[in-house]
Amino acid sequence: MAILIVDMGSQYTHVIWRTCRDLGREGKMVPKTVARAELDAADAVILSGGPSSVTKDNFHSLPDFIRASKKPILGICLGHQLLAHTLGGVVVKGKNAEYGISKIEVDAPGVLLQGVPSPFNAWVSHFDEVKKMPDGFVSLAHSDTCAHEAMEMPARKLFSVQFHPEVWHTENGEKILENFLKQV
Amino acid sequence: MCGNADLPISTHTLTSTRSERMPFTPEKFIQGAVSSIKGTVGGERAIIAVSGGVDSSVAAALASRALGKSIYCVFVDTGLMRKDEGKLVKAMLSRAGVELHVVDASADFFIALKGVGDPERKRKIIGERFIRVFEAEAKKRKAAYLVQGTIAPDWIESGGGSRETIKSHHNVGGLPKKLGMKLCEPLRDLYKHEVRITARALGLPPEMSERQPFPGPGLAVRIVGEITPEKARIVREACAIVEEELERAADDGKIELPWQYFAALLPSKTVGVRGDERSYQYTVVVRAVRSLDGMTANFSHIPPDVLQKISTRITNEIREAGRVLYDITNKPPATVELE
Repeated sequence: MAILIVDMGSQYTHVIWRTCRDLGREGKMVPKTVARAELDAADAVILSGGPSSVTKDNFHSLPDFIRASKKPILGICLGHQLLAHTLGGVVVKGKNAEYGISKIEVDAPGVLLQGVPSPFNAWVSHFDEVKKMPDGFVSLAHSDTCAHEAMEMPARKLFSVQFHPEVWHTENGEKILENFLKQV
Repeated sequence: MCGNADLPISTHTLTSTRSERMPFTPEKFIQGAVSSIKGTVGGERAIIAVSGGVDSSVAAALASRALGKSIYCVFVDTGLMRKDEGKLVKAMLSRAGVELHVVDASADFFIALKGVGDPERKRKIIGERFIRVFEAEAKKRKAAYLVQGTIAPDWIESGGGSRETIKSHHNVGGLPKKLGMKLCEPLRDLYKHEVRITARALGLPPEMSERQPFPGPGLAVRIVGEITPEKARIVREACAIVEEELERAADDGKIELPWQYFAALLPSKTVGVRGDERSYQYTVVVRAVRSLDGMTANFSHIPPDVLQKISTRITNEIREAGRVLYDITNKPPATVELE
């Protein structure tokens, strides 16, 4: 079975697909209106970034799936915010936006950032941010402008990053995606 | 392991470690693309849109493998090409065994773009002009298909569905709603670095496979705001200087050749002093970026002496250029081209 890559309108959804392929995993891109049954049948789900906001947009079956899923899920950018928002965290418009390069300081590597040196340069493109994580999540990294650049709840195989590990400019991006794919 | 904008440029290369595991295998891709073109176009005739860039050249080479001698390659001279572009492309492709049919539509393009300053309108007008030329050629040739070198960033940035339109690429978002032809786009899932790998595997010459990207709308998107023949001439000269100087600096080992490098013209003029006289002239932006796939980019770290040479040449050789700026914005938040 494939890894479902849910396209929430990111510039990089297809790059996630490409990078998974480069790492030897077959991905399938689906729109965010994807049916619950297809989500349930996947080996793992990656939620892409996107231009909308978790408080304003309709995410169809995704919130219910996130609440119930036992499958590994990786949220990226908007996907990270959707995980937080759905599970009881707080997402707000950040004090400052982050576009382009950002220095990420690893606080606790956990599962997702295992083997990743600190600090490292990542590429970001967001205004909203996770202000308060949902209960049970551990914050893995921060930047000057954003407190939760990465978080996880390994017991439920939930992982997420505010930056974009899939793009070429993000250092250690492949390593991070590989760490996630190992959970599949 | 991959990008690091803080490192000096000489310590990393575009091939990086990513290529060591990259399962993008050009042989497999070429095989699939050739049979897919055969399957799509079938017994019909096709014309191929060729710009001289690596994408359309690879599309043409694949179409030639799939369809044999019946392919017909059309190059549109928009009047918004780089210096000597038409001649150069024709010579380059003829060395690669591709016969090119050049259509001079420059007058049409300038008329259609007159007075238009909005970048999206410009792109849509250009997209439509291109298609009208191809439709006319297809009609003459009784061709049902247009083969284009559309790659992934073209349709990604053109938007649709939940994806915002960042810019309407002329070959996707700039297409008119009514098309008199069917499209065949064998490179839709590829990014620039994969197209280059494919070009090398197809045996295209390095001058083509390694050529820097050039946008379909040409210099139109390097003239911010309204286009005039005068502005086109200024930006064309400035682009040629930037290319010459950065290529020379790369040959001399001073820099890694940027992924894309060019000049653009701002609509605003600024004050200067030349030979004790006041001047009030255009502002030229120099842009050079490092990238793999064009989806993210960082501005190239060009040494000051190289920038100085570029600035001196532009302001000395082009009368209408009074000031030169170097663009230090990454993508995101900027895009590579200015429009």
